Amino acid sequence: MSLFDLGFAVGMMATHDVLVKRYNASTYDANGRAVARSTAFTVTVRGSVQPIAGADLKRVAEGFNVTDLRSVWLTGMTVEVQNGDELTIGSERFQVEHVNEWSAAGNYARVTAHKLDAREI
Amino acid sequence: MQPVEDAIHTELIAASGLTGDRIIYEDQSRDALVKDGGGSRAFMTMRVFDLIEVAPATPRNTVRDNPSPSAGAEILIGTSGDVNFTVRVTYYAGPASGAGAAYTLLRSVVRRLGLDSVSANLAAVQCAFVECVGGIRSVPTVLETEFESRAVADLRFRMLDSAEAPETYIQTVEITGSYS
Repeated sequence: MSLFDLGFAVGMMATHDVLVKRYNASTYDANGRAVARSTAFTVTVRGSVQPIAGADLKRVAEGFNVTDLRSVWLTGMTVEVQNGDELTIGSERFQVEHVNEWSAAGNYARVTAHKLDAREI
Repeated sequence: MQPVEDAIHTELIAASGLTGDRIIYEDQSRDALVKDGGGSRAFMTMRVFDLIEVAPATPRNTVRDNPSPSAGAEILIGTSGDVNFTVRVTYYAGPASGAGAAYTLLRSVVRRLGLDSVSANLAAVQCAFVECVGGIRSVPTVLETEFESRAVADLRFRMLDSAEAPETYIQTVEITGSYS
């Protein structure tokens, strides 16, 4: 738990506009195959994109490439970021896999996200 | 492969009474199914694996006239062979027991695959149900705070895998150097 509202500081360090996209739950067609998920909403926030920290590596699922991971500090959020949300940073897409959510202290959060392959939807 | 998958999927729908969107393929990296509109948690998953060509060294090769020939596509060259494959079917029945238990339901599904009517439907896509390998296993578990009845079976099928491609005749041969 953070003691201070770091939202202002995160905003000062922000390097990117980050597009946060959340999908609706998966559905399947009559043949049992998954259909493309529809978008629940998108929102743009400010983010500071940083390399992954050593402690985060302990949480990383086996097989994920370390170079495909980012630690992103977010601020200016109108919704709470959740696991599974998709972040578009520049031209690359990432999926949130862990959230340090400190909304009680201020409007900011730190997430760990892994890069998505272009084919992943 | 997809017509064969769809034919097996259709038979599983008929045998289980589940709707098609509740018999899903594994490994699609998507959310698990939740309760349906009627409040039932029951669903099945399918996983196709272990495709093995029966006689890879002796494929059946064919050459025939193209029924609708065009320049450069006067003949059809084909090859075909039998392929064995396994479909792992897992039945998730929710907190059910007795006649509603996953083991009982999956057993009735497997039994139905032996019917002549099912054989005819699968034969239409050049596929046949061979056997249930190792029987049906009951693998219940505790899901969060509830008991969930589960059963799994490996179903072995055989299909005819064939492919045909248009080709043309060799019309001229140019020989350089000596010929004897």
